[in-house]
Amino acid sequence: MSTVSSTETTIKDILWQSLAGGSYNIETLKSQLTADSRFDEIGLDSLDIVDFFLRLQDHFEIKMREEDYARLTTIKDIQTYLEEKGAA
Amino acid sequence: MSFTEFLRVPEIAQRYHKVKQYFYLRESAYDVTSVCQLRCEGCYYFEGDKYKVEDNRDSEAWRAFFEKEKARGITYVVLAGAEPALVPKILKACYDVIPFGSIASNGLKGIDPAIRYKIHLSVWGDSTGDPVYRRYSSGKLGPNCLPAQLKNYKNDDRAIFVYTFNHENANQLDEVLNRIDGDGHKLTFNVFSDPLLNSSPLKLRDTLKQTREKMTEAMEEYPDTVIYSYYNAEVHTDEKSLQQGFGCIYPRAQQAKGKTPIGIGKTFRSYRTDLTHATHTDCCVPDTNCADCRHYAAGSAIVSSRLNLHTDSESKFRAWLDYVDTYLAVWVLGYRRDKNLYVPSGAPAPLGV
Ligand code: SF4
Ligand code: SF4
Repeated sequence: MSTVSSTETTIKDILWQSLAGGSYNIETLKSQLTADSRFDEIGLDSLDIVDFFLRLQDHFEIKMREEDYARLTTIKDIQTYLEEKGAA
Repeated sequence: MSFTEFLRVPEIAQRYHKVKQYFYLRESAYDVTSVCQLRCEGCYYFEGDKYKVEDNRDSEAWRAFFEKEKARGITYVVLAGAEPALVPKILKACYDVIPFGSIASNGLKGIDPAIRYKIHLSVWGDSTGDPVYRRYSSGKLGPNCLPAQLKNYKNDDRAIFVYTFNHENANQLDEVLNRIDGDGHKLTFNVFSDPLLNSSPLKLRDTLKQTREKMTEAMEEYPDTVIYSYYNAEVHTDEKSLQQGFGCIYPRAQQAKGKTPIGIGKTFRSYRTDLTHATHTDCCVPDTNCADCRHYAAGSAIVSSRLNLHTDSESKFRAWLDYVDTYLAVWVLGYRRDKNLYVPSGAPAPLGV
């Protein structure tokens, strides 16, 4: 598995942890989500996205600025962001 | 400790799991009529231009409109105005389409019990203050709303009373709380927030500390009746307004700051009675001065959405959980608040609620 896809897998795993216990059908989401899916278009709620970003910060030991939240709208955006920060 | 570490503390994890189930709520607000029996001092509805539009009184047009709102992803409605109880057919049309929401009412007229929304009954003072702050539109002294509210909502689980603290009425709470507690109802707090254009004498000036003390005293004395937390009291009586303390996420504030909206900033609309809305007034209290905004509805959205500002210490995260637990108990029918997780030093140990 390439480094990129392993990061993608980790990001997705963290996303599923964030959404657990909420109002989602995780299996359906898993089948829909691609690296380019926009979080709002697949129906993720804003607080769940914040939860997701907080978990990413803990896992990758980085600090994300709030201004970044609005522009990180897909798994691919996050992957690129982590790479830029040297965290992926 | 970090966010994921906080979630390993059992009581924190349990509360987070409880409130998380409601993260999906996506709200919008609707002024359903411009008619009201009263003209309360500083009422934000009768500020600005929004009340000057022509009311749409066709309940079928409203029904079709709410269908579109539902299709837009709205899962929670806040019906306000002026006085929603005066347009029962529109309330019914809304409830038929979106069965989750609340109504802000002065309580002088009852609302069909079949409409299972939470009903927020506004109280502005005791029998000496309420009639002065809430006059009839003719300018005559108002009716003192509380006795009528208690009669119209006797044993009604939809009702929650909302006491608005203003510059001078902190001590009027005693009489009000006593009667509400006696009737087995719940009470929460609002803080008067100054209108944008016409500053009101009711604006809190040097009484924020006194207000906080009164809130805390009431919470401790009536833990089963008062739906509020220590953190609510801190946030809503801080020298900083909600906007200054947390940054407001409503479209109105986001547009004014030229920011890219996220979350509720994208989806929230404040519709007028002619079914139009405008981004520059899209917040839950349009025509309120952001620099003085301490409104309970504003806080419910602003503070709750700012999870990320509450994860740099365990006590802050606990405080945020109390705030969200309170907000849900105020806005969601049947939701029960738990004991406070955050207790400031010097306060008594939390009591079960
Ligand atoms: S009852 Fe409500 S809508 Fe009517 S004037 Fe008072 S605050 Fe405004
Ligand atoms: S009045 Fe309050 S809720 Fe409305 S935009 Fe200003 S800060 Fe936000």
